[in-house]
Amino acid sequence: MKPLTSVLQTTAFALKVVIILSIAGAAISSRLFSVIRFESIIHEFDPWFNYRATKYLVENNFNDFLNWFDDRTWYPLGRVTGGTLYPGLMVTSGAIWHVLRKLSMPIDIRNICVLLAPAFSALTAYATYLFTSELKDSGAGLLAAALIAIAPGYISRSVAGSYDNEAIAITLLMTTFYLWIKACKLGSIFWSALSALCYFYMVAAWGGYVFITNLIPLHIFVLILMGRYSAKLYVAYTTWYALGTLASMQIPFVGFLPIRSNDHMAALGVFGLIQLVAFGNYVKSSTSSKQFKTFLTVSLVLIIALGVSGLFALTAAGLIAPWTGRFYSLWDTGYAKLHIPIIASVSEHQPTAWPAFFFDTQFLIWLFPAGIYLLFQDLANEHVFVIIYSVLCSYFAGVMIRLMLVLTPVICVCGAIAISKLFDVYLNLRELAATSEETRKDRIFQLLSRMIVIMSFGFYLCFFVYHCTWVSSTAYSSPSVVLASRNPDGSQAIIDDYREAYYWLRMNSPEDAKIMAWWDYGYQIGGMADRTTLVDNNTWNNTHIATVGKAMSSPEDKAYEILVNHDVDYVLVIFGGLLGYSGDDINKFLWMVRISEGIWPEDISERSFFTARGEYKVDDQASQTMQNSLMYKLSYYRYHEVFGMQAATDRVRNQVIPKKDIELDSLEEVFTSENWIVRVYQVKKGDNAGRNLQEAGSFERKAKGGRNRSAKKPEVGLREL
Amino acid sequence: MKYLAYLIVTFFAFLSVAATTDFVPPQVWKNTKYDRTVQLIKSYVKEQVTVTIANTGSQPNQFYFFALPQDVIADLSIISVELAVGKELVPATIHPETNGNVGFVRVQLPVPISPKSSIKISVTYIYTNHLTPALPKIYFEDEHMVVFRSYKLPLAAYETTNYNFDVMGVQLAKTQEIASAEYDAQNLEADFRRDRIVYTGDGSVAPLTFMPVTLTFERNFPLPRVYNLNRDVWVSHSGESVSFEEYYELGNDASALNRGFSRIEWMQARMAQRHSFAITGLELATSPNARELYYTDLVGNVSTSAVPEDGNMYIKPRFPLFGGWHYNFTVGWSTDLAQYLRVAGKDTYVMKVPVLAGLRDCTYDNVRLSFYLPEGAVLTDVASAVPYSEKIVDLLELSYLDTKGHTKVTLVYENVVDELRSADVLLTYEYDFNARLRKPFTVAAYIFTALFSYFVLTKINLAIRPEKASSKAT
Repeated sequence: MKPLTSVLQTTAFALKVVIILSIAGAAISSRLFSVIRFESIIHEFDPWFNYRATKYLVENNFNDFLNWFDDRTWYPLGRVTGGTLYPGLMVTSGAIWHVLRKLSMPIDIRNICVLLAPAFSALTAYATYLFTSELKDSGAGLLAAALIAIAPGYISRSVAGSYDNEAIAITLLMTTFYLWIKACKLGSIFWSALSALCYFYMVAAWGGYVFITNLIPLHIFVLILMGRYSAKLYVAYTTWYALGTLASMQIPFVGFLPIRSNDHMAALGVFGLIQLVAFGNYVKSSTSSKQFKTFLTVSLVLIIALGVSGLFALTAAGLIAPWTGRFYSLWDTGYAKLHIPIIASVSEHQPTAWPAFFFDTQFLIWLFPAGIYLLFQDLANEHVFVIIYSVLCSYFAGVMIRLMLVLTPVICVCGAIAISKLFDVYLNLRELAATSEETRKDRIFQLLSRMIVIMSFGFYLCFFVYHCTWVSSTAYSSPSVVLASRNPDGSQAIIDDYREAYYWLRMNSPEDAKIMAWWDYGYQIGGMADRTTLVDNNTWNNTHIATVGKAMSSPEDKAYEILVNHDVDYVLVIFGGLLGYSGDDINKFLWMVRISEGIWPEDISERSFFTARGEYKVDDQASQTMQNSLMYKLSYYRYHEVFGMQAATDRVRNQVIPKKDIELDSLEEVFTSENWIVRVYQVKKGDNAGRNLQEAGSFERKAKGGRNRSAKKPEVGLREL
Repeated sequence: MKYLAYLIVTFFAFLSVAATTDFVPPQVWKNTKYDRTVQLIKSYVKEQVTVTIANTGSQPNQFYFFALPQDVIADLSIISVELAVGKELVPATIHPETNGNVGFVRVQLPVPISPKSSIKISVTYIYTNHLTPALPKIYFEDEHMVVFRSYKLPLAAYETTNYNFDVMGVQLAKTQEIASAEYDAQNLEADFRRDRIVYTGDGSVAPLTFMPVTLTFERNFPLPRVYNLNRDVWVSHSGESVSFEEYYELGNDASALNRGFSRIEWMQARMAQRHSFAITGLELATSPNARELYYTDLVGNVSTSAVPEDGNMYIKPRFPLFGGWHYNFTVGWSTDLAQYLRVAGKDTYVMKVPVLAGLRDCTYDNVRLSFYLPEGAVLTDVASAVPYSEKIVDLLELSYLDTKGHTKVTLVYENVVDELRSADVLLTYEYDFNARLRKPFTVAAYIFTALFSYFVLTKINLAIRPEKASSKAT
């Protein structure tokens, strides 16, 4: 009998290895759509900064990287980049790069950056396997690994090229949780220290580490309330907290936050509480129960009073930082819109729409509660952890769309537990075989009902794979730097305007040119055009962003003063009107207005950009302020000439642009990309004859005799898109 | 065909010594017929002078001095001298001494020419930087005029009779010359044709006569210039392939824009379909049977290339290039090794690769041609049909799964033109069986070591707890 068991064990082990490897394969390959369809390219906005920082790290050394002062962004302020970023991602890819070089595999750093997220998603699947195995069994673990590997909610931020902190953060999140559960179960300093180490890595990688900082203490707190305090928990938590906090303070960007910021106070509080509970336990074991009751009441009241007043006093004294704006917006979704438009202007900070839950997790969204219910059935300590995790995250994911990412792992875990439990019951044929003779008649019905349940869930699972592939292929695999469109014959046409214009700037503008664009494009300009920007996606200085917003929303002469004061050489605007590309600057314009109105309410007023009936229009009904604003002028400068004698339509807003020439005196068009998406203007440097630029411009218009350029030029045949 | 050319560097070294005294070659020749043809079809100047020389001295003569203006010598890309009959190449060196703005090429005839005999030689040379835009700034719809400054009467070290000067490839040309009584007597007849000017004359021209002429003509084509070209050739014996990668830093010497580039005017004038001085598309020669072609620049893949026919690649820069604009890009491809490699003996190979592929009609300031021989190969000889200014042999940093590094040979060429596409570099190297086996064996050894050490590590038990207790706990 013994050899048979060992053979079975070996087979089971081999099967597990094969399954995990194929899950890893699925996780990686389903994230490669964009590489195959386009190329190995960094996506979107933030990844371009991470990529640039990684290149800096690889080209210089680690110390230089931590002390990096970047004078090519936030002109003229600069940015203390080394001290204001989470270095985990860059250090990870830098380390991989160095190790591979040592193994004589000189892989280009760009390819490492592009493929980092898929590689880490395979590790996430493995970490989820371990995590779920601790909760139920390895069967559920394998299912959870398979689900997380392809769940769109996670794919959305980990496709090849989306080189962002979240790419490695979810892996670290799941690993930390696994190690934490292990530490709780065993009460082992070793596992707890490992968990702290992993937590440190997470802190180094993503600002979302605060989630762990609060979740683990909450877990301990709930367990204490449930009366489940044990020496194991004490060992696990104190080790984790002490090591984890000290380690996290080593990250320059975090620094003293763990002891000063309110976000971290819960962890400290629970650390104190667990000491008291431990002490209380000790007292309880050595005193009578009556004495203990008095002791408990008195000390509880004292502690709460002291704790709350201490917190208030420290906050008032400024020793503890108040909550950050992003944190407030987690509780009140309207908060950001009212007080900090810059946070609200980011689409990923918007509340989640209900269909998004189904889109991102499909049938798991309704299995999720079932899984939670099953966890309640045998409520072990680790199950409590998952329940708290899911409750907290369900709320956060509803408030901010980008936190879907943190919710997805727990949905997969709970879903896997539910399915696995179901399969445990319905695939248990032994029970069917062992039934007595009287139930033999029902056996066929039993078999049938089992078959129906198993087959329908098999169908759900298959359909899930189909759905995931479809979603990641259609929704999450666009690099957004390169746009895909279709030619009339159905073949793919690539619209590469961003890179066209950025590369033009890189090749044909002076190396120290300062470029003003809305902050969305700051990282891309830094990464692709390699030029100095005024503002970028690291929105640390609201006033500076408001200055750019003011320049864009002011009339040309006022804007020119701002441009000259900030040494701006080029102004870059994104215009989608010709192509029907909706993510352009005119659509973002109201945010620019709002943000600058927040600083200069006397100069900029949002109301004046609307028509009398309160509509946001760009056609001939557009308000005078709108038509005079720099953004409007730069976007529509000479646009109507494209259409010749026909009506000039803006294809994004479906409005007709008035056929009058826009006069630009202080800026000159120097480049417009092929599909007009990017328009670059150069700021004129004063007039030769010492006039101001408006006078010079109007003089020249008079000299020309005001002839209409558009009337005599032939119509241009446009490519139909 | 073998070209002969000269290092301008060494020439300048001599120049500094000999600058003070004017050199006049011994007057022992007379040019009885001097035909000069200038081709202005491309973005550089190609001239051919066929001259019949007669020995007027009393002794046999072997050396003939061919005169050229100093500025032409400074920009000389290649020069070759051959006998008109038999096409035999004749050695020629740039003479270190000069006479004012005139320099000399010393031609060594194969045999001394006896008095009263004559011989016909043909001198072909290409020089760059001599076509400049007439107006530094115009707009893209304007006609692009180019200026060529040269001389009308034959510039020779000896007395010349019976000459003609033929300029090809000039449309709507205007000439401008300095009127001078001295030259008017020369009775030069000009014949303007559609894209050609022919001057003929039969008077006698004194030695070192320099009669400047300025030609302005329409040329609605760009003047492409590659500042730097890095051409890398990777040789792989195990893959039986050779991979090329070329990094270009391209510019345009034509007129710059006089105001900002306006896309609407570019569209209205339908410039994309018209010839202009902007570079809108490039035709690149690759290799026969080229595969895996790519075209990228510093921000990624450029999706606008096509490979319509074998060995040629049509690429479109991201934006049109006007004068003063720049565009850096990289193209690459692979092809079969067999068409470049020949086995010369046991473990000895000879490789023949053209100095240039790439652009048509283009000037290159610097070309770095690098060969990456297989790991373990030993270079024995390098021969180039055109002289290079520098040769660097070193070990490259490690490429994929290398332990020792490839041998890298770099040849640096300066001031060359696309005509060098027909000039080859010959490379001889030894590559033996042991070197071939090196990589697979090293990789296998490393993997084996890794697996074995993993096996050993799993056998070590570091547990503090006794065996049984630990198995229960986990």
